[in-house]
Amino acid sequence: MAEHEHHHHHHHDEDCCCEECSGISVTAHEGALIGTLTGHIQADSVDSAKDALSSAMTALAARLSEAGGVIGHIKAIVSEEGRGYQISVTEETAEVRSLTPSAFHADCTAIVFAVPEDTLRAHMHETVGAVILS
Amino acid sequence: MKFLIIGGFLGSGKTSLLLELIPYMREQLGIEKTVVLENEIGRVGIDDRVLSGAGYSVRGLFAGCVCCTMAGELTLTVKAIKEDIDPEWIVMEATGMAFPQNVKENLREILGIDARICCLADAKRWPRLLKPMEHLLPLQLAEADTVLINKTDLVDEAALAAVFESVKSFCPPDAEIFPVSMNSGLNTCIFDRILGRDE
Repeated sequence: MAEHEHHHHHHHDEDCCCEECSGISVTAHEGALIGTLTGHIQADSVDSAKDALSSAMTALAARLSEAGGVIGHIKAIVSEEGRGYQISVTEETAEVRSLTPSAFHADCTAIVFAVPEDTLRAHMHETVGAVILS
Repeated sequence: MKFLIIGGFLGSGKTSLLLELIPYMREQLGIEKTVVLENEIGRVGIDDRVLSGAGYSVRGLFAGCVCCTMAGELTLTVKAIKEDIDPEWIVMEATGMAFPQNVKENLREILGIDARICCLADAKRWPRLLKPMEHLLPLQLAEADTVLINKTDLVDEAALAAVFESVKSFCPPDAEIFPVSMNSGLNTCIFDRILGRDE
């Protein structure tokens, strides 16, 4: 109950990483946490959006590893109409695959083991959450 | 209708394999009707859009794993695909956390489908992941017909030999193991082995 009240009374500022404020949803499956963030990226072009998100995902991987986590996979799609990229991170660097999709938003999923949910939320909010606006 | 399960840990190269295998099936083997079944653990599909963006017929199963929490959905979906499309092949990309043998068993018991399993392992991350994922990685290989040790371009010869021996120790004795680099493309003989074509 105390935790429930906390969610309704805490300070919802830009640092808050609850689902309502950050848009980050976290589910659990067989020892893994799956964090998902969906939204828009403000950028001049899909290429600069891809670069910003790729950097944020690489930073997220580094932070989660530093926190003792085991990265399963951090992957995302970012696109505008007719052009887009899939970004994939398992270690220090991001692999980028060019797509020719129809229009859709930026979606990022991080699958990680051995870190608490709060840690995943906080790092996801401060890295990809700074790029993807939910 | 034939069924191929592509398994292996997260980020091991399953989607990359699909992007090579499906064109081979269509262009070299003349198999026109293949349905890709994409299972993702996240609530938002990523890989399915990569594949559908490449022009393939893709069905998605999201926010769960077909080897356990979504086993029922899998059988219903496969049944519907059989009735609606009746493809020559269904190629399913499992989640990186799935136990492919569980999927194979469910398909056999409920639908009478005898699926093949191809599993991928990441040559670079295997040594680092094996201990923390010891409950998962070895069992993913348990009933594999073929195993691709991917990303060989990222490790040296000695490291690859060690990974090969480790992977082999968890595979069935008759499993075929191929060290590959998806970045360099695959020998088409490997595709035939994955599909069990000359058996």
